[in-house]
Amino acid sequence: MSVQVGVDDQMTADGLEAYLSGFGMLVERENDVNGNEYSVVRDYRILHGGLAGKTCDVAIQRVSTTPYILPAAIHTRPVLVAMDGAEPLSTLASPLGPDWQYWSRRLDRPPTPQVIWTHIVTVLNDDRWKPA
Amino acid sequence: MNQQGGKGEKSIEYTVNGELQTTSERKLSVKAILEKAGFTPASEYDLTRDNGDHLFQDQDEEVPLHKGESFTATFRGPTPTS
Repeated sequence: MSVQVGVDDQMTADGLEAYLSGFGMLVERENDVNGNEYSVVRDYRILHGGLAGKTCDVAIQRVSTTPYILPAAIHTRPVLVAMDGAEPLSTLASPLGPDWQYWSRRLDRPPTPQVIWTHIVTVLNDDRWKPA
Repeated sequence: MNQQGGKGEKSIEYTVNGELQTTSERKLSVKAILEKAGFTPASEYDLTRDNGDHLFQDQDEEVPLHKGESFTATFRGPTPTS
């Protein structure tokens, strides 16, 4: 029997938006230059780690796959750290636009809304980051 | 009136990663705060008190809870690049 890691047939992009809106986050939609649609959390305040005190928008590409598979990147606006394709940062320009930053990050756990949000919080509240 | 530990008469609302939590306890262990908020197993997560940026080192530590307090839970495992 094979075990798929990082998938959950109950999870949807709409469910993630509902979860985040449910505790007061403002969630809107944006499209990138290729027409892909994203869920965008407005004005997330980073409280801990090297970027503590920064406020950013956070975007996750919406997907309609069944089972749901979280795209292996988060996007932030503004650019928070150096653009550095090498680890540990692994950041690049984002197709959402020049004021956005692409963070290459993979979620290896079954994606529930809470797991996804905690994944984002964990990435952004990391002690290792230095502001750009 | 019970001010420290045990059950009080009024519930306390606090948040973990923005999610609202409610308890009638005046103190909870770090592990209990994580587990009540759905972060299981708790050993896979760190908990930080947002006020004062205090990372709890011991999951058995009893944490006095205050109305409106907020905590951040982060995953201890890797967030690998793709």
